[in-house]
Amino acid sequence: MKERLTVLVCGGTGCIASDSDEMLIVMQDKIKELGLDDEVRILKTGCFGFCGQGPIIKIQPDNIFYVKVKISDIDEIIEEHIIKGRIVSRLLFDDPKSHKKVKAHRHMDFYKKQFRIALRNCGTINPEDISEYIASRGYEALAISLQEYSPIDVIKIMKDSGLRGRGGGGFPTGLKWEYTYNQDVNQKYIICNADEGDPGAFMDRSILEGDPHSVLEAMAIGGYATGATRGKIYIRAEYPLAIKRLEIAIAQAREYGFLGTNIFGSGFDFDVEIRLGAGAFVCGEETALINSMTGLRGEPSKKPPFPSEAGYKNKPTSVNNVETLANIPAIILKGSDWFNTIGTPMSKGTKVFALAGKINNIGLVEVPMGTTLREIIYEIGGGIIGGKKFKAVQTGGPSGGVITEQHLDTPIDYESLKAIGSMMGSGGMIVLDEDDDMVEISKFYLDFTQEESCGKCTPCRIGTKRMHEILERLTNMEGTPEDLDILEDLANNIKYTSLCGLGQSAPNPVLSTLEYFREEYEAYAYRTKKTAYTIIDDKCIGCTKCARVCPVDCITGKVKQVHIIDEAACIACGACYDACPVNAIEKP
Amino acid sequence: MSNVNLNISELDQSLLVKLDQYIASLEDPNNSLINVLHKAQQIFGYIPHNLQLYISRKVGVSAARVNGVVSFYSYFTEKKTGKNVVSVCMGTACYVKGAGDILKELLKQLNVEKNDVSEDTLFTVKDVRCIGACGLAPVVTVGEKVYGHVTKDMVKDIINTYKERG
Amino acid sequence: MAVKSLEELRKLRKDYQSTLSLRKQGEHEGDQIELRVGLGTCGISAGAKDTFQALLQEIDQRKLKNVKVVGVGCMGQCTSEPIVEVRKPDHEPLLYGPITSNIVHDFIEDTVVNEDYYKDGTLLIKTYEKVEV
Repeated sequence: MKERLTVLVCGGTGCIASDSDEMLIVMQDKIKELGLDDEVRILKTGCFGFCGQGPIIKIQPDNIFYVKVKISDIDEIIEEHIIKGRIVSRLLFDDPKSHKKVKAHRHMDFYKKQFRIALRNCGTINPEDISEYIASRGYEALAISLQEYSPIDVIKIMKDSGLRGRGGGGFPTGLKWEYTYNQDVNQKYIICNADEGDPGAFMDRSILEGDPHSVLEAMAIGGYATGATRGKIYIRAEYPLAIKRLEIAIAQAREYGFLGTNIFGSGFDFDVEIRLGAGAFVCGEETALINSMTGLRGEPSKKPPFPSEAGYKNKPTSVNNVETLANIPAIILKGSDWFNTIGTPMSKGTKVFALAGKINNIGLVEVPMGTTLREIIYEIGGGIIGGKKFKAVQTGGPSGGVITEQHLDTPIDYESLKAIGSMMGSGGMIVLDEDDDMVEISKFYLDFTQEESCGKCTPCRIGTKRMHEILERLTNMEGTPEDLDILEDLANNIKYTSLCGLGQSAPNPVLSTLEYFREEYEAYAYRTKKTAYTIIDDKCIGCTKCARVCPVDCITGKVKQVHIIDEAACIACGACYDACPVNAIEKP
Repeated sequence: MSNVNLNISELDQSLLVKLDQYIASLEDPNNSLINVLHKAQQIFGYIPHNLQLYISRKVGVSAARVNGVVSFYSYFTEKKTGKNVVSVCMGTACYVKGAGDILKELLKQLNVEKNDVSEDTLFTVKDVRCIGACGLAPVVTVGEKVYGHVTKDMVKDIINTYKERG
Repeated sequence: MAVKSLEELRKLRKDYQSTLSLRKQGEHEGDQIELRVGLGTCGISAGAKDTFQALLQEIDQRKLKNVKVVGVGCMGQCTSEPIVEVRKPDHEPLLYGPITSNIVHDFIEDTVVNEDYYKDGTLLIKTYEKVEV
């Protein structure tokens, strides 16, 4: 019989010195007495390394860590934890540094490796109350910029900090501001790009919902640095809560004089207005965004001219992403040298990732650039759901690619991700496990880009459509091996001839999966792909469970005899796979 | 296009007054077409051809441009929707967790095509881009209500909740 | 009331910080406890608004004078939404999730009335480095 619990008693020297040996014997006796010896296993282990807190007892699989346990505590541990399943909280480790009780190590992991700059106020202040933002040094960076720095000083701080755009391109923010500053034109604009279109990324929304003032403050700083007196926030209509909180924040900032005329008595005027998107992925591209803001179709224009020369209403415009902006007040307050110490040589600071898919801890994580994917997935993310095998991570959404096992230890920054065929993108990270079909995933992304293509240029409009048709043909088992070559050829053509970023990056999911998972495409192309479940003869015990759950009655077999699946009738629903108690069923 | 109704006089006059008020409050209506369309959809529920023509005259841009914008953005709809709009999130996180099957199940149980109105006029089923609640994937929304971790078995209950309300 | 200089802003910040800490330490006898509920889209979708209401109701019913419920933005740990953070004076803040409205009664009993830890549900401990600006 399999034990329900394992009690690990530390047998390290430190703990033995404090009676852990005797405790072990007392515990074993008690458990035997209660007749629990076949469900609870007691083990002596090596040193836990927490000798100052010994004797130590750890209970698995609950992963509970008790410290300074005395023999007199044994009864309570058995009564409460082992029998009733309740934790004895007075015996939990009390961290002397922070006076917090640590119940189990795993609970700390999610936050352990994180370092929050952009998300510094998210989840800690009330976003609808400006006084809480001010109490966290809010608007001080703006006041300092206006009173103590010239626009050139601010641009220099941004350039020295090494901050790069977090929306995908990674263009240095200081440089963008400098280009706009250099234009000798009266009216200029700063635009906050909050058109977060990557399906699976939601950091911008969370920042706008949790800390809207930091974005407004950064826009005002940017306005001062570039010479813009008007700010516009282009936000998706799909984010009603973020819109509402922004409206509240703008009204409060005006009331306090942080927006409006003569801010902080400096003579600088700046105000912000919200513009709604209407559901078009391509509007995340800055020229398309600007077109959409003037009430036109969101079609991109040729660059140059860049928006920093001729943008909104043909005036110099700096377009910055939400997460980028959220970093800026912290950089002004703490200095470019401080920001420079975080991250990798080419990519400074932190990046927020939206972790989703087949992973245990789904959520937003902010880590220093240079953190490895392995750390993010296994230490912060808590690994794959159900202990399944990791297959790949998709980063960069419909414009990115997959990263496989072999690259898990690559330190993440803009360059390293590009080098392995993916991209930073906006920071969506979808974890895929062994069950995911890479050809289907590529088809999903292509379905997306094909539908979102604005139709202005031919390679993107027609090319993605043809690519999608080929993938459709393959997954319907109607393709041929030649299709793979056509697909690759077409993908490269679209990549090099499309007008804007959307088209240029649309083939990436296909190219990347073709490189790392070509065999999956070949299985479709050569029509060798299994489409039905099968039973492994020597594992089947003839329990009939699979036959009973099959919705199309395609499993036959007698009790205690090997069962057989009629592969022609199987609809691959997976019900039998889940029902089999001995893992005798193989997936297609 | 014989089935295009461009008769402005058929529009509900009391609703048009609301829209007029909004347009009058704008500084620069000519450059704010998308905001006007958002308002129109909010008031009317959808933006039929005759309303598009009305707006084009009101803000001073060509009807072709208004139609171009309406058809470009997925948020705007030219068709009337059912009483309850059921949206299935098709973001990547929901997709890998089976949102495609949920969509199929919904269409099957309601016996309706995507974006059409069900026979009892109660439902329209749509797919939407990521709504950003990836922690709850797969996600279905009905109006403002969000259903998380949706399974095929839950589909029937969700539908019945709204059928009972009529 | 427009703020006209850096000095004025810093003075304002001091005032707000003391209001905030007053809120935490309490004008009443005993210490002020703050419960923060993550009210981002994710949290709300998972029922955080109900939790928020239930917390207010529970505190009202028990006539707890030293407990304040505050709505904040996204806590980042979507899997565990709705998340409630318990902040007590001189204690490291603790995050709990998921705290749905139906377990609020026990949650308040354990964390506030008995000044202990919530036994069921997941206990998360906030240990990430936050940049102090």
